[in-house]
Amino acid sequence: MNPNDPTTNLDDKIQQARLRTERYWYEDGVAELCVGGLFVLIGLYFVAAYMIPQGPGAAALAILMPLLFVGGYLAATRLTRKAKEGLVYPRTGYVSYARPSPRRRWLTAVLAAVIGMLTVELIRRAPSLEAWIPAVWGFATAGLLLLMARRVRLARLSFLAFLSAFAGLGLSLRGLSTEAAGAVFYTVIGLATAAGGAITLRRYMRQAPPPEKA
Amino acid sequence: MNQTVGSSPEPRGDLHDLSEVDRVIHEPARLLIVTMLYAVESADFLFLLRESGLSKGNLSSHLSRLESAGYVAIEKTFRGKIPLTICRLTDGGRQAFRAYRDHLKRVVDTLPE
Repeated sequence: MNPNDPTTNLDDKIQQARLRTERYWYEDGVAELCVGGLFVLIGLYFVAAYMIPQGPGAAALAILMPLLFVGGYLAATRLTRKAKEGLVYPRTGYVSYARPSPRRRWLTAVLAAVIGMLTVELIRRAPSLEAWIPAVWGFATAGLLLLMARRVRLARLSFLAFLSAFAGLGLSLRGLSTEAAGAVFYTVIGLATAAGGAITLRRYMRQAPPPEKA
Repeated sequence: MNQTVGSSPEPRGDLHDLSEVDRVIHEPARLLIVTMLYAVESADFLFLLRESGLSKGNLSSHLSRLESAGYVAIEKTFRGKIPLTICRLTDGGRQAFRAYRDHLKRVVDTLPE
């Protein structure tokens, strides 16, 4: 790459402008705060699953799980948008990102469903593999976080990725039940994510005063 | 053949291409604005102002230039009582930006080391 090549410089500048614009979504910590809250909620679900004995209560809880995931995701998305509208956009401006195409969203949903079904089938055939579920959570979460960290170049996402992989693997090696491991894993990762988001939001609010004070 | 003194030199074919670059986008401030808008669906005036480091007047005039070229669509709206100027790259603007990048790359690729 020749630094005197005007197209190299142009490409660098274009990449930097694109990166800054994409990173803007994460700069205030609001999204992490809401996603962390969602993870804590999932952790609480596992706490309830761990504490409620087998029976009608446990069956009702199992039915609640998809509702909790979908409802929690929708609530976290709405909360993120509302918080950004109230706190971030008046200070540093509004940005709307292109939504993934319907085809891509369908592909993601189908892929998630296939992975879920394969995991369930694998555990049904080889129950001893159940002990490795926390490790799968850990590495899957870490993979997603590392992809995001690489795209927007944010070190704190890499830290969360390593924490996630480490926690998942550690819980698998400890041999806890899926419910107990889920309670610990999602609560710990949720709290860590929310704490990172809260610190980032605090710093952001200090650096970007409200419009009347700016 | 030597050029005659006083006559304007003929540009070489590859360099001649350079003079055909899209001047609306080529201006550095406008290139920055178009690049930022290329990465998103839309952004407001405040975001562009902070990220570009331009003055309000400068940003406004560059946006007007891009709007009159049909590259940027500007919508003035309100969120509550706060006025909001939303800017987005039009399909033509996206196409022009891609063409600009390709054009510049092509020109530079033809130059000797």
